[in-house]
Amino acid sequence: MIAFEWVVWLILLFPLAAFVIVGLVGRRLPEGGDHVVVGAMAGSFVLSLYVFIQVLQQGGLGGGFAPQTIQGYVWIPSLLPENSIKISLLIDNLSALMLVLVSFLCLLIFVYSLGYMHEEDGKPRYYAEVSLFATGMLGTVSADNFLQLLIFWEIMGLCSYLLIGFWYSKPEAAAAAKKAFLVTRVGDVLFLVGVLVIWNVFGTLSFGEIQGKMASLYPNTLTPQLLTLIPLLLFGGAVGKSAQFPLHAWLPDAMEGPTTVSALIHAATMVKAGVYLTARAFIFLVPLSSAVQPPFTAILVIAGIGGFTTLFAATMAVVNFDIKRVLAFSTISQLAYMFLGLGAGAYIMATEVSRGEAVNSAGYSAALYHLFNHAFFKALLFLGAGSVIHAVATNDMREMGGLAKPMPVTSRVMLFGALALAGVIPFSGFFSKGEILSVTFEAGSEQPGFYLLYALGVGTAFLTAFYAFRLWFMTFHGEYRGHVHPHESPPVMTVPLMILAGFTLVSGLLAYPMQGFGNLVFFGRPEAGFPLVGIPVQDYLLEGVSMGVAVLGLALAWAVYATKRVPAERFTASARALDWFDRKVIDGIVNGVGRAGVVVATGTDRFDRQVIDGAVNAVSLETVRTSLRLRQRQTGQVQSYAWVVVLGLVVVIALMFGLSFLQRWWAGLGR
Amino acid sequence: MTYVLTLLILVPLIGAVIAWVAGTSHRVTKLIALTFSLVETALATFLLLGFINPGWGVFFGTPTATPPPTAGAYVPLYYMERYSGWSQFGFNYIVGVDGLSVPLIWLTTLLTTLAIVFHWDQEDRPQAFFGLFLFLEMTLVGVFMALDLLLFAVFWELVIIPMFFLIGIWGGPNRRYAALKFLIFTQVGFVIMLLSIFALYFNSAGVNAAVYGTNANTLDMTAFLHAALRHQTGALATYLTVGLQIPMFAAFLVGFLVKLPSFPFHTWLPDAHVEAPTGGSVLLAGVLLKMGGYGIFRIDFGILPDAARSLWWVLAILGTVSMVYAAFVCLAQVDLKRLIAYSSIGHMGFVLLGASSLTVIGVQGGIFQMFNHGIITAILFMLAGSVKHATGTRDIPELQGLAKVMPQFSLILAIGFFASLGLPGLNSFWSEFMVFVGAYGSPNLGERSSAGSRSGRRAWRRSS
Repeated sequence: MIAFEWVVWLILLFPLAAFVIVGLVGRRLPEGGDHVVVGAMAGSFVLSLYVFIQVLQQGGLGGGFAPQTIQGYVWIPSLLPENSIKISLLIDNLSALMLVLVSFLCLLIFVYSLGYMHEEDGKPRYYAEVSLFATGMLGTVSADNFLQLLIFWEIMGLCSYLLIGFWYSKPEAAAAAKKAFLVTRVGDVLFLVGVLVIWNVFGTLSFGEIQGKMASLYPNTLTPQLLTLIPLLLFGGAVGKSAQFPLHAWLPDAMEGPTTVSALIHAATMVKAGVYLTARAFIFLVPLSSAVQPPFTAILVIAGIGGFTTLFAATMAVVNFDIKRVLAFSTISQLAYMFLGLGAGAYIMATEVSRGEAVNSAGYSAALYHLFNHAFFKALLFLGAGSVIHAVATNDMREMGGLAKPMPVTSRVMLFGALALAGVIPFSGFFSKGEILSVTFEAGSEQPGFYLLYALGVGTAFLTAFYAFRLWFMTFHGEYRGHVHPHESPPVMTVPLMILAGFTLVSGLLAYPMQGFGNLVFFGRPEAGFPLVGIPVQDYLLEGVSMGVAVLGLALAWAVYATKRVPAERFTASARALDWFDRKVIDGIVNGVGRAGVVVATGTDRFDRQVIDGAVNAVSLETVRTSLRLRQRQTGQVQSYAWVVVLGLVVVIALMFGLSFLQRWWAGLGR
Repeated sequence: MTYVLTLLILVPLIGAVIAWVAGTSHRVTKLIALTFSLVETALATFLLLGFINPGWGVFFGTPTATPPPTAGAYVPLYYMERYSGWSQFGFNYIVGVDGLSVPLIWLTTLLTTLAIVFHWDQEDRPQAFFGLFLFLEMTLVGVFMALDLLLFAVFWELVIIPMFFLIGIWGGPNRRYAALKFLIFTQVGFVIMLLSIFALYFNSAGVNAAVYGTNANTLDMTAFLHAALRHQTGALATYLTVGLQIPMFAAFLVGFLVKLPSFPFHTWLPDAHVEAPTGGSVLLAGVLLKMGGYGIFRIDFGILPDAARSLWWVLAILGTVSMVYAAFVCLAQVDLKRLIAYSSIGHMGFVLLGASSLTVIGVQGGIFQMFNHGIITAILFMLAGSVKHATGTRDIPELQGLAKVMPQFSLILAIGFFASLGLPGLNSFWSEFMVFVGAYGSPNLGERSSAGSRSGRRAWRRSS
């Protein structure tokens, strides 16, 4: 039980209030109302922490905390009370943790914005939109049902659109905003259809109630096909939001927005919503009841897309020179890891369910653990990149280099971030990424396809270390190649960076006091152990492999970009081909679909003007012509009029007979 | 017995006459028009409040639900008034409102007031201009509360007159063509509709006898509504046969589809919108289109339910085609007003789809969609009007970069268009969601639309 339920509502209401205040009167507040926004977010963070501590105190570790629904408002009442659509919040281990994570990162990035956005015009607009975004993200992770999740999800999408287009007078920014909105909307439509299907099958959208009804509805109402379709539709939404192949094209372009937005929305929080949604969709993937056959097809699709995207995006990151685009592709790749972990974990759990064994939620925990860790180190990398861009006024890494000397703090914290991203022990990425790979390998014993996905994952781990240090060496090592005189950023920017750098170490090790992250965030039943499960020897080997390839990648990056002993082209040629494929083919398809829409629209418009409206005008024109012709018959000769009168009489008599016959026939038909 | 409904008809009528006759100066005319429209809005607001919670409507006395003429009949109508002085001709003055009409009446009064305020700087013959607006308000309110078929037909026809002159006199360069097109389209639809009204009259004696115990032909809609409902519940054995209902349904439907408008009867709408003055567009899209939806729900569904059950697919197909077709045509538009006009056609497709589902939530969604669309489209047309006023053009490509110079305008435009696209959380999302839920779960559509919903059908059967 949460002691004061309204506290949970306040977590959402604080940033919402900040949005309203800054949106309405921000222009008149000093500095565009930035302190209102930071203050509201700090309040939200403190309350989130309070809720989280309460959850822990009531046995959150080890599964002692019963998920609690905080009843809210009945939005659409229904004839059946249990069918009405409510707006209410859910507090369980996962959502309590996500609330803390989101509010903390929002707070740090808002503080950083005080420095980064200091000289921008339109600050009230920026602060109003990021506050609304914070409301959206906090609402997404605390939603009690799929519809409410969708609403807050779309609020985030709206803010993402507005913030990518923050510099809307730049044509690229406006185009990127449009692209982001439209491409994610493709996924959102699938999500909406999924919500409709769920509503139709279950008559409810709340996570808890769906889980309860699962066994009783299967297999008559909830057919196996539907059980496959529902998670796939939800995953469709996740693919759009989390920028997975083939809907990933919007995320690199979204880097046109301010770097704080990239860090907050397109790395740390919003793009994670897809992973969060898929985690919530576990109630369909792993029914936790031996009576329900789990949908293996959907699980394989999720894991497959994750496995493919992770390698695909990593190769893109290797060949880009724009520091933010590198990080964007890296985000896609890391998110794909999470989907791979969710898929592999779900596969293991589903086989255990179908055999009637106790389930082991290692993959689920590992994926969310990676979500948690990645949020910190990727936010750090983006904000560090922002600090660099702030100093050298360019995004191009070819015009950087040697920045370690003028920017000591930034270069050090970026090193922390790169080590965490590469997955080097004891930085956080090591624990969660290694665990995802172990689970994938383990799933291989049930379904050999996972061995292939494991291989893709290991290859990605190598590439990840390579591009992470390629970025670091190109930026901070060697000679400065730029033109602007670089300088270190002010403390308001570097302090959040240092806090985040601390977390790249701490967030991984946090699992120790919890006796494993799986003890806190789990599906079904908790798992104690470090980092997730009581580790068998095989796992040490697997962790060693992922660590080993990371070190190899790091070494190669050092050889190529720091010492320049190995020419870069030799390694990037194949990646360049993939990059070409991505730019020309994938992006070409996206743009082609858009262009096809325009062609169809133009055609329909022409049809509307010429055929439909043309017919309308033709009828009226013909009426006028006929009347003109008939006018000529008005000759004034009495003889011809008399003939017409006789003819008319005949017609009238015929009509009378005909109609009475028709009436009799019709009456007979009606009977 | 309260007189609030009659008052709602009389106030704008009196206002129209006074504005026309006593409008000695432009300023006085505007003040008169504004006063009367505000009074009307206040009355409608009390009506709405009283409908939501009878305790709040004490201003008019307690709502008078129709006394069930015979036991077992129940049509929930609030605030009904009936004068039967002329019933020997089959005509009664009957006005009444229920949950379908109250929001539409409120919307009408609200949008009229806003349109009058929007045209505050109207200098071209304001007496006639504002008089026509108030007259239009009277006719629209009348359509939504008339419960006698003849009264309904009269108000339906009267609506055309002020709108015809508003477009034809104060419209854009091509106004004569647009006004005439509007007139002929709706007139043809009305004439076809009139056939069904006659048919209903000549088949009404039995219905009248069953409900009111008078064996005479009548145009009283309440008789039909009661009888249809009792027939549905099995309390009344004989009602209009299906063979009779189907042609009546079809003829009414033509009139309503033209008004709605639905593909392929929609081409009058973009022309009328482009030429109409802003306030005219607001009322045209905000309220006039709803007359079609209102007619479908009140008459096609209320009086002819058996035909609705066999002809639902016509609505479903036309609704879906309208949505997709209008969306594509929208994409090709350059004129902001034409774009909004086509988007209206698409949104009205949702009304048809919700109606065709024949489920409670689908029909509710359709009604809700009418109200929400009225709000959104009013915002958008007013914005289109003010952008034309401020920049002299409505061509979208020429309007680039407005956010810098007109930030508040851009903000409201963004809100309006996001609401229009059904962004979750904004108003039209809810109605469209309800329509989708209804359509997906419909026993009609689910059966045919996808294999996946076969189970949905089963679930529906179980719940009903």
